Amino acid sequence: MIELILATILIPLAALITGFLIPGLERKVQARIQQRIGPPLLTPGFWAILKFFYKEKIIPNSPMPRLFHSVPIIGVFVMFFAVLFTTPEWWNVNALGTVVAVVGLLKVIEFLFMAMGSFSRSILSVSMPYADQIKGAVMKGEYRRFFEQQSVVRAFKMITVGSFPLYLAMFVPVVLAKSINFSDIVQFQGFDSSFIFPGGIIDLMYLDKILGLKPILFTFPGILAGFVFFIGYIMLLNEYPFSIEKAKSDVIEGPSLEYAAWARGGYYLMRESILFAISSVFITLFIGRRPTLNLPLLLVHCLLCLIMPILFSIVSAFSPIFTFKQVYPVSMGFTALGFLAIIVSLLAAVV
Amino acid sequence: MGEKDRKEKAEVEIPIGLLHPGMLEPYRARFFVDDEVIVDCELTLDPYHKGIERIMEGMPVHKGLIITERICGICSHIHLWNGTRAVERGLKIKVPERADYIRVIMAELERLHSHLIYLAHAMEVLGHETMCMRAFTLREDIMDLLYIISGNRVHYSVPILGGIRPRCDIDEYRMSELKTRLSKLDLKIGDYANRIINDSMIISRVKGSGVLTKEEAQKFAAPGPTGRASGWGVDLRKKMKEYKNFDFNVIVLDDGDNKDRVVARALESIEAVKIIKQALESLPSGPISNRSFELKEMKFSTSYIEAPRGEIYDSLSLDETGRIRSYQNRTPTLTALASMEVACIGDQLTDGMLTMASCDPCLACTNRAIVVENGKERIITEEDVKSLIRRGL
Amino acid sequence: MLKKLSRKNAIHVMLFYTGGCNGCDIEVANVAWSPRYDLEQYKVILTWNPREADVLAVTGPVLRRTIEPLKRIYEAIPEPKIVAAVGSCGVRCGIFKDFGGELGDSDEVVCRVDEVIPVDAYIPGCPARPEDIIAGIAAGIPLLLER
Repeated sequence: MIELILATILIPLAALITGFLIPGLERKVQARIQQRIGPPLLTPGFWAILKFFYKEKIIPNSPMPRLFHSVPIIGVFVMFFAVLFTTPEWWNVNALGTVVAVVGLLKVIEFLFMAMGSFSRSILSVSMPYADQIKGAVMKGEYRRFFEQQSVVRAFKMITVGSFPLYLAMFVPVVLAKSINFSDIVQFQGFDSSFIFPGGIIDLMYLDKILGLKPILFTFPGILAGFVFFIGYIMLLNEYPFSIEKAKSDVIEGPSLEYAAWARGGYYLMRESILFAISSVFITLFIGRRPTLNLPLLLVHCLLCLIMPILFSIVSAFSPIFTFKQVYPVSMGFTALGFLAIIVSLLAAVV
Repeated sequence: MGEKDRKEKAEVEIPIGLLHPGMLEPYRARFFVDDEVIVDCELTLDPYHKGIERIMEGMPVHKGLIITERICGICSHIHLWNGTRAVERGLKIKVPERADYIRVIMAELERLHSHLIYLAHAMEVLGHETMCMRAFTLREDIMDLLYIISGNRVHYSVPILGGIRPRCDIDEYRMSELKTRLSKLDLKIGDYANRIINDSMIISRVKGSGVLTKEEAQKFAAPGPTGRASGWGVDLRKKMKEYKNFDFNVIVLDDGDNKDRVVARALESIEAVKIIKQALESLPSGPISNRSFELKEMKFSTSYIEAPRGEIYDSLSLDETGRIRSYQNRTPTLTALASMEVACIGDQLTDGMLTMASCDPCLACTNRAIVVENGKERIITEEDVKSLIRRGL
Repeated sequence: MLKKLSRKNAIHVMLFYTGGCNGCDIEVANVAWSPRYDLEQYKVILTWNPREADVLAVTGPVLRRTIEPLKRIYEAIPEPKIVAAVGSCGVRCGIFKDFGGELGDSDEVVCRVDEVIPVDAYIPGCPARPEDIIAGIAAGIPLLLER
C-alpha cells in the first residue's frame, strides 16, 4: 500500500522534471542543424512556464472560460495516469495495467485538442476591427469562421485518418507476447515483474540479468512496428510535417490562441507531459524497461525517454508542412506497413 | 485551378486579418472555402495608403525624389533611379557612362537581395524553417556589399540628378570586395535551387498548385517573373540603353505553377551575378556626375524600368522654379496580386496562402485604385470619393 | 526573486506593423531568422500571438486603418509589458509627416505611435539596424523586471 502511494507521488514528479528539459533539447538540436546557437537548455521548457505563472490573470474571449482553462489540466492528469499504468505498483489495481487502458487515454488526448479549439475566439481572426461587409463586397453575409474552429475541423480529419499507425504499432508487442497485460509484455522481454523494490543501491543479481534480455525492438516485426510507432507519434503531437492543425502560414497557432498567463503555462506542461508519456510507453512496449521506485533504474528510464524527442526534432527540422493532399497517402502507406508488421508478428508467434 | 472553378456560393468565409505571419505587411484577404477548397477570394489593399504622390506636390525636385526611395523597403534603388531618369530625359541632362554602369551594378545587387528574401519567405510560408535560414545566410554577403558601397543596408540613395553620389564610387578596395564575395555566389544559389528541386517533400507541395495559364496571365497583365513563369512576358532590360553592352538570358518557363515561379527567380539571380561581373570588368573611367544643368519648366516626362517584381512606370512634371507639379507612379504588384486571386481558386487553403506569397508581393509599392475616364488614367483621390457619395452613386 | 529570474530568462517579442515602407519589418525578421544575428541565443523568442507576448515592437507611422487594431492588440497583451517603437517612422512618423510640401501633410498619416499607446523604448534609424534593435529591446528589460 505504501509503495502505491510513493509511486503515485514520485513517478509523476520524475516525469515532470524530465519534461522540463525536452523543449530545450528540441530547440537546441534544430538550431544546430540550422547552423546557429540556439536558446539555453532550460529556457523554453522551465523558465517560460514559470514566467507565465507570474503574469496578470485575464478572462479569455470564450463562451465558456472556465471549461476552456481546465482543458490543459485534464490533459496533464491523463498523461500522468498513462505513465502510472505502466509502473509495476499499479499493475495489481483492478487490471488497469493493460495496453487497452493506455489506448483509451490517448484517445482522450486527441479529443482534448478539439475541445480547446471549440471554445476559443481570438482577436486575430474575425474580430479584428475592419470594415468588410460594405457595399460592393463579394459574397456578403456568409458564415464567418474563426481560425480555431478551422483547426478543430482539421483535427477531426487527423483523428479519423492519422490514428491508425500509432494504434496498429502498439498492438504488435501484444501479439508477440500473447497478452495485453504490461506485466506479461515486460516479462517476455526478459525483465522479472516481481522485481519491484530491491534491497540495495546496486544489485548484482540484476546486473547478471542484463545479458539475458531480448527486447522486441531488435526483432523483424519489432523494427517495422517501431518505425510506424515513431511516425504515429509525430502525427499525434501535430508537429512538422503533420502540423496542418497549427500551421503558422494560415491558422497562426491553432487551438491554443487564447491561452494567457497561468493557463498558457498549463498548456506548455500538457505538451511536455504528452511528449514524455508516449515516449515512456514506447520504451516499455519495445525495450522492456518500466518506471519503478528504484531510483537508479528510474534515472536510466528517464534518460532513455529523451531519445525519441531528439529523433523527432531532427525529422521535423528537415520537412515542410503537408496539406491533406499529402497526409492521406502518407498515412495510408504507413497503415499498410503496420498491417504488414502485425501479420509478420502473427506468423512469428504461431511458428 | 483558375477562373473556371469559381463558384457563386460558398460554405464558409475565413478572413485573414491585418496582422498575420504569412505576410509581413498589413492587408486583408477573405477566402471563401468549401471544405478546405477555395472557391473565391477577395483582397483589400487599402490599409497601407499614405498619399505619397500628394505629399510630393510642391516640393523642390531634389528633396521630393528622396521620398520615392521610401515607397518600398526592398526595391528602393529602382524607384529612385526611375524618378531621376524621368527628370533627366525631360530636361535633357547627359549622364556620364561610369555613373550609368554603377547604377546598373546597384540595381543588379538589389535584384539579388530581393530574390533571396523571396526565397526565404516562400520557404517560411511552406513551413520549412531550415531552408528559410539558409537563404538569409546567403543574403548577408550582399547586405555587406551594399553597406560597403553606400553606407546603409537599405535605402542606399545612390543616384542623384546628373550622376551618382561621390561616396559611392567604386575604387580598388570596393572592387576587390565585390570580386571576392561574388566569385562563388552563383554556385551557391544554384546549389540551393537544386536542393529545392530534388527534395520530394517540397516538390509535392509546390508542383501543380497555383497554376496560372498563359491566357490568364495575358488577361490580368501579370508582370515580371510571375508572367515569365507562365510563358508570357517581356524583359524591359533588353530595351533599355543602359543595358545594351551586357549579355544575359531572359528566363521564360512553361508550366506557371508555384515551382516555376520559384525556379525562375533563382535562375534570374544567377543571371544577375553574370551582369555584375561583366560590368566590373569593363567599367569605364571618367567623371561620375554632371552638375551643369539648370532646372526649368518640364511639361511631362515618362520612364519605364524593370524592377525585381516587374515593370515600373514613372511620370513627372515640373514648374518653372523646379518644383514638382505632379508625380505619378505605377507599380507591378497590383496586377500580380490580381492574377494570384485567380490562380489560387481550386486549391486548398494552405496552398492558397503559398500562392499569394509566391508572386512576391510588395504591398508597400502597390497602387490603390486606378480610374480610367475619357481614355486617360488617373488615381482616385479623397475628393473624388466624396463627390461620388454626394452625387449618390 | 524567482519572479525576476524567470522574467529575465525567457522573453517573448511580438511584431506589429502599422504601415511603414517594410524596411524595418525585414530588419526585425532578419534579427529573428538569420543565423548571423540569432535572437534566440539571448533568450528572446519571436511570437505572433498577443496573449503570449511581453514586448510589443511597433514599426511604421500610424495610418487611418491601423489605429484601432493597434489599440485592441495592445489591450490584449497581459501585464507586465513594454512597448518598443522601432525605426524613425515609429518614433516620429519619419518623412511622411511635416515634410514641407505645398499642400501640407496627408490625412492618411494620423499620428505618432506614442499618442496612441505608451512607449518605453525608442529605436531610431532608417531602417533601424539589427544590432540597434537587439540593444533597444535589451535596454527595456529592466523596466519589465520592475513592473
